[in-house]
Amino acid sequence: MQETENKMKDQKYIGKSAVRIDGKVKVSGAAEFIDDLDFGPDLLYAAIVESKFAHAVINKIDTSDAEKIPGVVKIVTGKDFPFRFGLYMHDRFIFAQDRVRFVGEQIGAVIARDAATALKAAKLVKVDYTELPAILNVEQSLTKDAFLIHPELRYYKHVPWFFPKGETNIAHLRKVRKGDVQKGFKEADFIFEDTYTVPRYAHCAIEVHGAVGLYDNSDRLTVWTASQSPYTQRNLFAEALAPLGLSHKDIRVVTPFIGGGFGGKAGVSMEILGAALAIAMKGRPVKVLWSRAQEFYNTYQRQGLTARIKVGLKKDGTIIAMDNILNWDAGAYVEYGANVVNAAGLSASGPYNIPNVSIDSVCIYTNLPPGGPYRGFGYSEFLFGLESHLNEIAKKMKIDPIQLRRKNAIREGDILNYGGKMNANGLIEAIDKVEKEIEWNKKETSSDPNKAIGKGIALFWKAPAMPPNASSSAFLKFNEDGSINILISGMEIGQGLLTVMAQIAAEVLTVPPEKIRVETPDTDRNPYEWQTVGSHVTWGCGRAVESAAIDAREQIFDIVERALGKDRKSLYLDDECVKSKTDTNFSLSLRDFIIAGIQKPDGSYRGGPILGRGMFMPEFTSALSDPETSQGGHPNVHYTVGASAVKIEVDRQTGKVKIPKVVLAVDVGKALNPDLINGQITGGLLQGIATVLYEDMRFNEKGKLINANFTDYKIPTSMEIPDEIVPIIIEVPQPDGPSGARGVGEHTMIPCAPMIANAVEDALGIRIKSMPITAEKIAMNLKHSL
Amino acid sequence: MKPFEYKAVHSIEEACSALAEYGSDAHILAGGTDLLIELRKQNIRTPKVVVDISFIKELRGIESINGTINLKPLATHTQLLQSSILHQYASLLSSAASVIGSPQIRNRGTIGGNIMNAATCADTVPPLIALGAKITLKLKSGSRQLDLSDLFIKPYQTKAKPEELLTEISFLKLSPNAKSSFIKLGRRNALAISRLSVAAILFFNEKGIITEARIVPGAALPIWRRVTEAEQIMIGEIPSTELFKTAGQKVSEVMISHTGRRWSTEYKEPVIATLVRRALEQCV
Repeated sequence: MQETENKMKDQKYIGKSAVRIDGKVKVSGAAEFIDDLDFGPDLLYAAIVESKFAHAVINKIDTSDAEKIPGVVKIVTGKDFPFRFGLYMHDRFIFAQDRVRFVGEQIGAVIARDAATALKAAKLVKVDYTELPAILNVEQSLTKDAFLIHPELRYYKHVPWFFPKGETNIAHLRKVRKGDVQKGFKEADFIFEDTYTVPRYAHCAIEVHGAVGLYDNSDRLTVWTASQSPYTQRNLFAEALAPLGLSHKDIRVVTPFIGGGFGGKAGVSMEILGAALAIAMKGRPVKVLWSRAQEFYNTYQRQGLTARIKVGLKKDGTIIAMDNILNWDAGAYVEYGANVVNAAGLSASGPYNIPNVSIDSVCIYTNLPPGGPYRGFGYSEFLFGLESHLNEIAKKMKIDPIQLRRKNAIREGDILNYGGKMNANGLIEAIDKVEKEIEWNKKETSSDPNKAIGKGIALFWKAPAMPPNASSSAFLKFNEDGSINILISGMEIGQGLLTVMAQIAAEVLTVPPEKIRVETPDTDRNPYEWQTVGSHVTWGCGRAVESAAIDAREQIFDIVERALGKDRKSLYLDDECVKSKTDTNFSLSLRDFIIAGIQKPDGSYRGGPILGRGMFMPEFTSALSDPETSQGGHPNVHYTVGASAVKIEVDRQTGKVKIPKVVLAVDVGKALNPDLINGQITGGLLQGIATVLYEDMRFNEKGKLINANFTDYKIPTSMEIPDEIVPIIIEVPQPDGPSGARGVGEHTMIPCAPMIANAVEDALGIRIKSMPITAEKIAMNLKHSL
Repeated sequence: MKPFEYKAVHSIEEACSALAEYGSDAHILAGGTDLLIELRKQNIRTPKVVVDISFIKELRGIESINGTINLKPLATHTQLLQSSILHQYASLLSSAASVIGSPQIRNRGTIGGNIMNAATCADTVPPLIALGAKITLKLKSGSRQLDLSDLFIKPYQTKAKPEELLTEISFLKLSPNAKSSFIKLGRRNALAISRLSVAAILFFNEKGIITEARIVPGAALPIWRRVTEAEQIMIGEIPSTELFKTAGQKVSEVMISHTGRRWSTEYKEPVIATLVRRALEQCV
């Protein structure tokens, strides 16, 4: 383990709710988002020619009518860019080549002087198709004689931890085998099996995706994107466009503030168009801005899941065997989504210590929009089934559902599914605190005879899903006045990263966060970061910033030692000054020398600009393991755990659910900024509640998304916020985290669906095994149960 | 958005002249909360001329004259829900206005627009029909008055001629022996279209016996009407849960007899009965 330093000391800035440094610009409207950037009068606009079919062969594309529209500058199609791309598997093209695989897929683009003209002309591009049978669900996709969605699957380039099954629609199969699951079931006194389904979801970030590309006359490609992943984008652009002679050094990605990401703006989806169209229009910037409808059907969607869960227990409630089959509807392209399947597969036994485990997590192509990352990265989906199922088991075995969980909860040192050991964690403390706060043992009834009250609980865990060499880096530059600029490529996506990075540096350098400026990435200026995903940047990027600050501090001590002959071991920083433990009168203000250096009696100087450099790579991880069992590697850096409980009031006739109270306890290792964590807890809970009670994605029989708008795809408003939200922060330090911190971004959402399902069951005695749990579904289930 | 001509008018006369001139090519703009969305859709309903009546002062306001309330068509939902006259004499209408859309939509949207757009989910229409509202439609020459319940042909279609302008909605104040309520069921608590709604008024004599009942469900029937079949059950009776339950079931039966069974019927059938019962319970 790479231990962090200075975590046990008294801390001045860490653990305090520093005001977020991007707060004022955002509240005042000064913050710029992609659509605010001004590219001058030469800016061109692109509109997309989209597939009408879920599955079809493209015979011919006729652009002649579109070209006649005044204002149209150029029309680009697949033949102009016959290049594959993808994050973990190269299964996509920039534009469809001979085949389209989902409704809305990009076939071509019209570049015009204004957006309306581009849109009008795009509609005039005639595409001649031959329709193919579309596969719209996993059952259909897995049948023996199913049409192959990717006949060339076996030739696709992919990361070594994927196992595609050529000549099938299975893009990846993650198999986990721990212990002896058959023996486990033989020894079990009870076996419970059931199937739970989770449909697709949209991220619904307030800002749509957008990209502006400029390939200038110096052969430099700059792409401004609304993104969580500037460096990953640069890498994928470079990979895809390498045949045209571009190299990484020629490509620059700039990401201004973004209006929410939630995973949807990770990796590369539509942004590849910004890069490609710029290449097609050398010398002029080209802008592609998604409509809200496109935001729904051509970015990433959260994948659908059918989970068959089988659990074997001893009479006393000890779980001794679990066998889960997770069939994921991963959509038309899985270059990112297959890793969701992979990560979820490794952890789909939940935060429990189970000796015998078998998991098949299956990534299945369908002719629906591409699946991909969404806050929780597969964990929300399998937890719905698993945590619902545990309540059903508790009910049938007449064990209190919290007791069942406490009995089986994973503890430090327990063996994980891939053979590693569980990290230190506060899961039991979380269960205890949530149980108390929700008054678990107090049965409540409503004064209104139409209403039933129910309580539900769910545990959660999640590890960052990252390649073993995912790394972060940071530069820290001192300025003449002693202020600091920190350069990182971790992305501020609303979580407060910029503020927390300033706090981390402030703690090391004793410079208050108000004197530190941290800005959003520009790959020319800011050093490498893998991606802002997986709840890992506080941890990973935080370590890089901490080490950059330590690097700067050591340079400072070095200068003072060399110029003034002070023993560096006696030196320390306090209140923006260098001080000495042995010479208490000595105090040298940082601003006096961090650029100018320290003058010697002879008039010469020692020192020079202080420039800290920091890097962090989790060198203890590895994705190499036995493909048949997943044993042998160390794919996950650590798990963040917690528990959540809810009290609901449900209308017995209409099925409408109201939430008087919800509690969530999460072990964050160390709360670097408690206010920001409380914000994550509140936001995560609301997003999770939205998916279970309101959001309902509908496709027609031709695979077309029919509610790609906010009128028909309902997300909650401020009127649906629970009456009371109680965030509980637990701090069992993560030894290798900055000041002991670990990530918390996704964890606050993932227990919501099963917790609500369990509360509905508690209130009404009905078990709903498919999401969403809408008012209508509750009322219908109740009616049929009577 | 297809191009269209925009014409602002500043008096009722000017508005009627414009409508007479353009006929079915024209569409009236009041608050714009429905029309502007239609215009963006680029569909065939896009009018050639948009006649903006929002500047006409005579079409604004809520008047109380003796026993009658006159609503002008440009009265916004916010004005309805804030009106003390309506709170006192037609509280079901202010309740209905208070659950339309969001504050922004309530600030823009007008009662005239809500009526004339004739969407089955229009929230102010069931209360107005329960109140026995009459409307005045004005032509360039002359005008006519008709019962609001006679205005509608089918969803999004009224008997008003393209040349006619809605100038007034009027109804009698509810007497102190009447109690009213409005219940709406949406998929969420704001910015939601009614899945079902119920407007109810009960009149009582001094012994507490129901002398008159009015029930108008919303988003349930092809066109709005009082469900007299259910209303009659209650006349001469003392309020009771059983009675209201029976009335609710009757409304549900009537709904099914009109709409037949659809995918949503399984849910709406019991729920409309429940909503009617609850609306009636609120009238006691």
